[in-house]
Amino acid sequence: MARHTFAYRVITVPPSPPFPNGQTLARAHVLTQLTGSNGNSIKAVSCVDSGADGCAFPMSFALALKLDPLKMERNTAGGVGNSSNIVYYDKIKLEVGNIDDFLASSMTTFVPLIVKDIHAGFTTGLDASGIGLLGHTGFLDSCIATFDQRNLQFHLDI
Amino acid sequence: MAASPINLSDVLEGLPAGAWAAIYKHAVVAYGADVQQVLAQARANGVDDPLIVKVPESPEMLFL
Repeated sequence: MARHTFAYRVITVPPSPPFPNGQTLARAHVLTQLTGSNGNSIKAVSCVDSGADGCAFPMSFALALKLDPLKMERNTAGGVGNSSNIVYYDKIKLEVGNIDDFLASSMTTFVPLIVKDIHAGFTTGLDASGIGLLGHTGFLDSCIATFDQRNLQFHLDI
Repeated sequence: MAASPINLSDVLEGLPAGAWAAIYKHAVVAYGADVQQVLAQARANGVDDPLIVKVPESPEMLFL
């Protein structure tokens, strides 16, 4: 089993009425490359999300991959603030890496740390945030995730 | 031990809220309202495989 360690991405949130001193948030973000069943790919940010039942991504990514929603399997899913988002599915290759390694690299080839074939959902419900969710079915069901926010790190053992 | 992460907020500074951006290395190579158009513009600028991120609608947006 190999351990992959990632740094939390720390977000500073300005003051708001419930948090007059502002907030500092830590997000378990990784780089993901999605390759659709048609062979097209896109790189984006995803969140390792222990509260998500499966893996889902913004619908905009499906369109960028040139997947045809009219030909995709679909069901519905809920989340905070909604209960009936339509989710369109494709069998994709999911490759996970470190955002900083990719941005700092002078190489044009992405070297993933984790590669999986998954049944991924795409929904307009994620277009506002623009990030994917790596949840239990398809991702967390095949690795051990350790969230060590005290040290601003999280680990994926796979 | 993971290194300190690059602050994407710095990279995205000055871009319109809600825009999609294509990032390569530490620079924005294209941005706009539509991911497909942003990817096409990035490729026209010589970057075939950028990282696609979204500029937050507001800095205080939380995800629950």
